[in-house]
Amino acid sequence: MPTLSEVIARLSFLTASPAVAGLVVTASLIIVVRDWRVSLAALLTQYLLVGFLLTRLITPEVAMVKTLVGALICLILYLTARRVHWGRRRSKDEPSPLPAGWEVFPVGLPFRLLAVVLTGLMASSLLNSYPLSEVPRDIGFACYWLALIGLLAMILTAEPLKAGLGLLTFMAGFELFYAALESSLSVVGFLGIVNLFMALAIAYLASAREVELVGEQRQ
Amino acid sequence: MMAGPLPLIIPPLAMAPIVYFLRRWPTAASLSASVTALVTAGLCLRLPLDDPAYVLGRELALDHPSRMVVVFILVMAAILFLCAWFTSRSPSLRQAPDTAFVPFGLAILGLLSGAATMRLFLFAALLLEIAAIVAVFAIQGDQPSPERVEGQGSSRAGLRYLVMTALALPCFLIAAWLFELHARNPHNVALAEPAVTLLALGFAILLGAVPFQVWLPAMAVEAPPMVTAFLLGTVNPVLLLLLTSLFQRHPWLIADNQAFQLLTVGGLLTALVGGLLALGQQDFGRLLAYAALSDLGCLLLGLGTASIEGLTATALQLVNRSLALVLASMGLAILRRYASSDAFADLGNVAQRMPLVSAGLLAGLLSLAGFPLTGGFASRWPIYRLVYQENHLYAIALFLSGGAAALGCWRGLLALLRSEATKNPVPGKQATCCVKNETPSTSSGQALRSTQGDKLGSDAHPELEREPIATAAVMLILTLLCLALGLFPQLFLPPILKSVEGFTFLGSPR
Repeated sequence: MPTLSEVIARLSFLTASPAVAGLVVTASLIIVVRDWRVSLAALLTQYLLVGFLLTRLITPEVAMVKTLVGALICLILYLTARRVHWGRRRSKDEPSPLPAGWEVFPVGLPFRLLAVVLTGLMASSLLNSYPLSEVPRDIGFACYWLALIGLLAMILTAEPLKAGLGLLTFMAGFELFYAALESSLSVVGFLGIVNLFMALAIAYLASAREVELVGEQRQ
Repeated sequence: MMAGPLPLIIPPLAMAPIVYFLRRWPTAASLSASVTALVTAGLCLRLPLDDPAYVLGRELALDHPSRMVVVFILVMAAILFLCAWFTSRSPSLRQAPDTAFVPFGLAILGLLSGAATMRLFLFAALLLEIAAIVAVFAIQGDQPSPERVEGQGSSRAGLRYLVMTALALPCFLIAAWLFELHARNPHNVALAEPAVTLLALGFAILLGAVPFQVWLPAMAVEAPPMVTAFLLGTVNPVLLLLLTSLFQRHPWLIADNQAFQLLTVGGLLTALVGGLLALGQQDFGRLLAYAALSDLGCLLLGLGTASIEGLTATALQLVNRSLALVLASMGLAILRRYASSDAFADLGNVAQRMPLVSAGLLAGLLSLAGFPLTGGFASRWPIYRLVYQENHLYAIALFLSGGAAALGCWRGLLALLRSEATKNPVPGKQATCCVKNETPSTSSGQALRSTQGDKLGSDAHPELEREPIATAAVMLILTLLCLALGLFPQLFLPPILKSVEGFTFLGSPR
């Protein structure tokens, strides 16, 4: 059975530009697509790709722990989304107080696409103006990109699960940068706890939001 | 083995799950949480906890200022747990009390005690962040029932608090990394500016200073009022302790006075925005939020004077602010529970029917605004004087911000004294209705508000006509205490003076 180092060596092509390109796609999907299954799959892939990039900065074992924490977060959010029937299209008998899809994003697809493009330009511009000297240039771009896309998601929606995906994306971007600054295991552990607690809080808020929507419909 | 400050951290954390399972019995939950907080405060005062403890190789130590702050937040929390029990006692059995705050409050207390005693700022920031995330559960409270009405229980306040506090974490972690860099190269003065900027951003976000105050009004409107008082009254003292401790341990941060300039400008802006927004509010929830914001600005200006006198006045202001928050929040909670709303338009006749609750609510708000004869004025006055010595205009602006907040309270008083509820509230204004499971089924928000607005004036609920005696007595005691602190501010001065004398980075007023 191959060791972790051998697996990473075989997948080394993923630890460079392809991973960054993958992050561009996955983070864009979180903003562009309303469907929760696609969004959660994008978040899970994002954690995997961040894990691959992290192997260039920290030991593979620690990078794997961070990826596992990400997978746990996705599991928590998946169970929550299933339970609250997140983002479902409501029937005529069950009218929503908001237009279709607006519970997730109150702006249209063209606006979101434009916002993603502008965010990419901003990330590129920030990288040129304020390069992150502690990490390689492609990882620096990934940090800026994830943090900005996360902020964009938090700005665009007040829906807890979608905004929560934005928050977790923002944190993933920050941690990618911070891993190069601080490699202490206790800090890694604390950050993992923070991320898990965040996911639990997001899940709790999403459940409350669903009950809130049901209450509004009944009134 | 030296326990160090661990006896202050473990009991609240250990009791939190037990109290969580006692939630069905609010009396047992509140009393056990209150006793836990008081016993822990007693341990903090009595036990020799000066020896450091080590957890995962990180040092936890209790010096005199952190001991005083931990005792203060524990006592404050004990009072709030009792107040939560008083206010959750329902006028009718149909109402389920929201007691989620109590167990989560205990967990937050344990984490805050850990943050206050943690030597390494990096881990203190991480503990603060975990406490902030736990606070989201308290803000959201119990899961709202599908029959609930607009207002309390919305996920907006919790989400905003979660997002904003998460944004503070990167600022703190990178600032902590800069401290490490400076420790390796003490002559690198270029690190001071980014470190101070990051710290200013992080603390401003967590304190809710302008322009990061978005979570504050949302929380005051949507969360149970006791949670608002708890978070403002316990987190803020710990944050200010961490800030002053950082200045004490890292004097290079304040070498060029940039930090104090930021505190002064930020404080002034916060006070002005808070005061002006308080003036225009139409409900007591938002009025409380903006009066507290104005008061926070005053606190920051007090710190910005960079003097022992300023820090003493700020610490005294923290005590008065916490008492005012308890008083105003308890009044607000009772108002929401018994009058079903805190919107000015819905509160006709309330002052006649609930005189002590109304008086307590206004006394708390006026104390936050720094109105003469209240505790808030006694601690604001030295800050006005210190700021006046530095810049006359700043002092006048600070005074005006307090005046604007007091005028907002005056408008609230007029609403409470009005003989009838307004039948047509301000268009677009949402009343903050909080009685669960009691809402008549109606599709019209306005009709809903009118129905609830008439509740106190009608005979529909004769049991709600008068304030309950026990609750009124508690409000009376707290109001008298607030006024007594206005007349005898020296009561709390000896422990405060002893706590601030250790901060040698401060001099006489600039």
